[in-house]
Amino acid sequence: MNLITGGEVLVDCLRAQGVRHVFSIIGGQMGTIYDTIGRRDDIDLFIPRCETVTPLMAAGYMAATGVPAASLTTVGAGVVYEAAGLMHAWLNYLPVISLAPQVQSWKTKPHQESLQACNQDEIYAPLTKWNTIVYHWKRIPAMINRGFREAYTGVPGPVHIDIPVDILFKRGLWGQSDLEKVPLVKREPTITGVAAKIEDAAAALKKAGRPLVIVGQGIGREGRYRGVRQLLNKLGLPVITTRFSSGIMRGSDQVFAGASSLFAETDKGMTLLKHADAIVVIGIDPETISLIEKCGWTSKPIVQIETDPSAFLTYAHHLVHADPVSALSAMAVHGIKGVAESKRWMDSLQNIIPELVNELSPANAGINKTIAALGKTTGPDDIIIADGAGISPAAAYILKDAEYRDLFCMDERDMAGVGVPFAIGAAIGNPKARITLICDKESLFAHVRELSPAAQAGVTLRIIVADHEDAHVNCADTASVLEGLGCCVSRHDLSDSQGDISEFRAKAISALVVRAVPEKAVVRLNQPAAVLVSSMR
Amino acid sequence: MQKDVSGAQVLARCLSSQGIKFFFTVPTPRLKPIIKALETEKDVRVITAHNETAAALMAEGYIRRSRLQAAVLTDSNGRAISQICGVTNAWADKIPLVALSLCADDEPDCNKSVERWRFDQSAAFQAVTRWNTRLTTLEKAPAQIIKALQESCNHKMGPVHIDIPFKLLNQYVSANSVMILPEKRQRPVEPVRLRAESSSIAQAAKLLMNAKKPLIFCGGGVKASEACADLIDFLETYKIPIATSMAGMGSVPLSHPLCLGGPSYTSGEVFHVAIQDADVVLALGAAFSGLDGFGLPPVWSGSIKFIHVDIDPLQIGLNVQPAVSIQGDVKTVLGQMTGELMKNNFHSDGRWNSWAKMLTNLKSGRLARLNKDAASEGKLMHQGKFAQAIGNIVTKDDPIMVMDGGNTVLYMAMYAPDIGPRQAFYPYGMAALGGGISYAIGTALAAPDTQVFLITGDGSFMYNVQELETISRYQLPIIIFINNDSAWNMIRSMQNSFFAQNFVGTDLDGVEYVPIARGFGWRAERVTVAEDIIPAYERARKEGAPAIIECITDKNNTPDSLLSFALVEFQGVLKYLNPLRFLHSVLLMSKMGLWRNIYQMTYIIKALLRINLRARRL
Ligand SMILES: Cc1ncc(C[n+]2csc(CCOP(=O)(O)OP(=O)(O)O)c2C)c(N)n1
Ligand SMILES: [Mg+2]
Repeated sequence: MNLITGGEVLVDCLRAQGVRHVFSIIGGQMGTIYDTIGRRDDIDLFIPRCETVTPLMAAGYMAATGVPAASLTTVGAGVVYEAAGLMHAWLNYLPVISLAPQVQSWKTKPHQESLQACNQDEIYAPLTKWNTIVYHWKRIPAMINRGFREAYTGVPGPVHIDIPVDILFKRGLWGQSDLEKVPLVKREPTITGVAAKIEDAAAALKKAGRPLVIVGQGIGREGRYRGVRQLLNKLGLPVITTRFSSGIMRGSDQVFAGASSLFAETDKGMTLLKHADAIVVIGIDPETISLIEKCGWTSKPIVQIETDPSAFLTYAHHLVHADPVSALSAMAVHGIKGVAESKRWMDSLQNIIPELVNELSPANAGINKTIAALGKTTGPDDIIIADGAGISPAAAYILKDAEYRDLFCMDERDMAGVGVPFAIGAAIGNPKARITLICDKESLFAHVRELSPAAQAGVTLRIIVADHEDAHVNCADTASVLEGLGCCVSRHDLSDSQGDISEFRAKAISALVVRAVPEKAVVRLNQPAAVLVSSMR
Repeated sequence: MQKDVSGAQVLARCLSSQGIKFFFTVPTPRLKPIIKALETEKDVRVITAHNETAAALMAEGYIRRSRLQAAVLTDSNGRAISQICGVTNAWADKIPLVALSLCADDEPDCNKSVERWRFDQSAAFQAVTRWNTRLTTLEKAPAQIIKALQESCNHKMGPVHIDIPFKLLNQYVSANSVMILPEKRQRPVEPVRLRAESSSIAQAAKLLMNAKKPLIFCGGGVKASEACADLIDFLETYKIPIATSMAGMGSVPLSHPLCLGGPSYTSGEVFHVAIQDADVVLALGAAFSGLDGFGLPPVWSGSIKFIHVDIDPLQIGLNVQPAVSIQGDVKTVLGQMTGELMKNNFHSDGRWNSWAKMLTNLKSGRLARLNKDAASEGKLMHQGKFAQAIGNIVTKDDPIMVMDGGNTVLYMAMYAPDIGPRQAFYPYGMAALGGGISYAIGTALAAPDTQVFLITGDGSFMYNVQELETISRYQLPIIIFINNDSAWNMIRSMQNSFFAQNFVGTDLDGVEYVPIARGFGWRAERVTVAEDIIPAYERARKEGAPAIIECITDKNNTPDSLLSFALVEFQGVLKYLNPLRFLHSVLLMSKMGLWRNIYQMTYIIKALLRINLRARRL
């Protein structure tokens, strides 16, 4: 037993859940937390230059490692910057753990003009899965544990925990036995499911001639259930991914049929998909819902695999409450490939893809050449992050046949410039992987400041920027801004090369500035996600 | 009936005719129709930024200086939530910001379901706005917008938020089915001249007439009420000493003989003595926030009788329970008070002169000590010298001063030159870092003929550094002075005092801001001695282009008044510090050099020992 502060208890609890990195900018109320982290060598801080990115970096870190990371920002002032970043985690089903100090517990609510105080828990309520204020020192362990449980149970999402400063400074007795009482929350909980239901589902699929698997949220970007890739290959059904699961399948996977938007955005693609006669949905998300309704699949057999039963669609026939790995392994045991037609179906999907890619993102258009060139140079240790209106969807299409460890496509409609902090977080979490961010100038600028602390910290990262010289929009020279922030920059003009980037090596933060405007008109995924969905329901 | 106007046009017309002429935004495909419609409106300007956080802060900065209402307009989801930083600053400092964002068409879902995009966006704004709503139909939109604008300037001012469902922008309606609003000029932020009820004025006058040691405590409400001149008349007539809150900075010239000096604790022992010894305090538009010690013991004496004047009755009695509460506009109430005192044929006749003299003596002693500290020898530039040099320029050229940072702001306040009521800008309520560059842009757009300075800490400078491009694009000749002490120094100072110099996450060594600025195509200079600041400024000024002057200062200096702020902010918490660790901290601090120790000890003896720690605390 030791007499320790609430801050020390908090750090102990974070360590108990496997947290090794905290993304944070300090505030005085965090005094004991920073003091503790500084005295321990099993947990580290990364200090960015604005709190908006702390959850975004944590998200990139988790995606690249599967290890949880926390975002810690200061009362009021830090929190109001952070909220937007946490919003990204909310919309993208990411279990980011967000922590903030509060003013003294006896002054927390109602707000009474304490410096920096506002009813921050109310700001967080609509954009987290769960949030709370910890009013008692003894409740810190239980509340941290609860936070992880909420974040990782069912459909994942961010949580926020406020801890008043007196709770963080107060000292109490705490020992190894207390620590052992805090169980590790399972980040990939095993939910075996009901055997009969899985059997039924497998039987229904066996009958299908043209089955299709859509992988949605809850896999990959949260760093979880990566085993599904192997299982899907084993099952042998064609698989499409959404932007929430982009990167879970790769070019070498015979079953991979590309990004769902590739079909949703083209008439030919839609016509073909409508032929599917059985659908497997793993983790519903907006793109999946939209596709199901657009293709009129509601009357076809739908097998829905969910970790949270409240996510079940009213019109799905086979509701499998199980984690995707358990469900798919059980199905694999039953065997679901039966009908001879399925080979032809797979071929028709695979064969149409080059045509669709070409329709949406012509290979010779602007930055697409560079994206294609990038795809030819990557291997199983590469993590690619794409951001920007013209680039993110194009990358999902063009990199269909590429090899990589992971591919993350950001949605700039919901938030500007997530790519930079996400990539930095990924690079911090996974220094062995080669991280490449490919983005346009607008996405780069929104959080460009973060390249400075990343360069200072020796982060290794490659950035490919599609540049333009439209001075009405942005009169700064991209290359010199990057150089000023500490990046090594090479310039590249598409007109005098074939988009060859084989020479582009990462040393510290290296940027390749490509003079090419992304072809926004060609990549039509410009409808807002929310509108896309609401018009469907 | 012909359907001839689009929703985007209706909304643009409506906002513009109601006098909202400045819009700060980050353009997206979804916003295109409304931005296009706004650009065809008379006198409307649309300013574009690189992220929505910066856009909201710019709008807020614009209003702070111009006292004209303006709007931030953004897309939905994360882009909408990015406004919250600026909106919360506006909420805390009572700025009538109009925050507009797009939102999903679906009914918001409050069940936290898988349909995340249906989250209740509007609810996220509720805690930090005076009012918020979601537009329903185009026919009803004009009335909803007028209502929002009314609420934003309804007595106490504050931000309002309006959610605009996407579908409205592209709907068409017949022009005569929507209310045609008469065109108004740009909407001024006008104080409401609310008169106080006369019996409370009589009570207040009586209290004041019988006071032995009266003190005026001037909050941000005095500037909001445009009552600075009236206030100076009042205190000169009756010779009452005056202290200002942080938010009240600039209401009265600091050099005025009755003014205690810098705002709140930055005037050091003068403020501490005044709020312990005063018997009657006339508080004008003051929030009694944490930055000013809540008006409560232990820093304020528990036996003070307060006369609390505020336009918002809910602000009264929030922390201080006043002897006399007066709901009214400061300017109007001062007039009423003067009337009442004259009616009673009251003249102060020098009765408070010795009280005022005692405080003035303390003030000059404090100033002498500050000057001595700034002049103390050190390898690196002292922040006091940095602040003094800028102060000299401010006195000469009268620029707008935007401040951003931790210790940087305290030093600027402690060594402040005389400034006017609409000259210095800082988000007092939230004390949020990082708004500086955006505020500089907002104020420069509000005052195109005035030079704008941003005086910022190195930590704060980077938050919105991408907007240096915006400054270049709009050709705003802003000059930025960076106090580069290579640290998040306000917090580092705390680690110094309480955590035995365990400096974790607070050092920013090795970052150079000149190359960063040059990367943005800016003129930039690095200055290491205070004597070079003015010449560097003259060179920058001559070019008339935006410029950065990076000043390298000594991170081991701590502004003494920080101790006072920390004591209040950590009230009831410091007793938990491990006593051994605290002793260790003190021991380490004592190695920081003789002068620094004398300086800090003097402050502790003169100012902090005035605090009656045994007094009731909250
Ligand atoms: C948005 C935000 N994040 C964190 C804080 C906590 N904080 C207060 S002062 C300070 C240090 C500021 O550093 P700098 O801007 O360099 O100013 P200095 O104190 O060094 O003069 C910090 C981190 C805050 N007030 N606002
Ligand atoms: Mg600093």
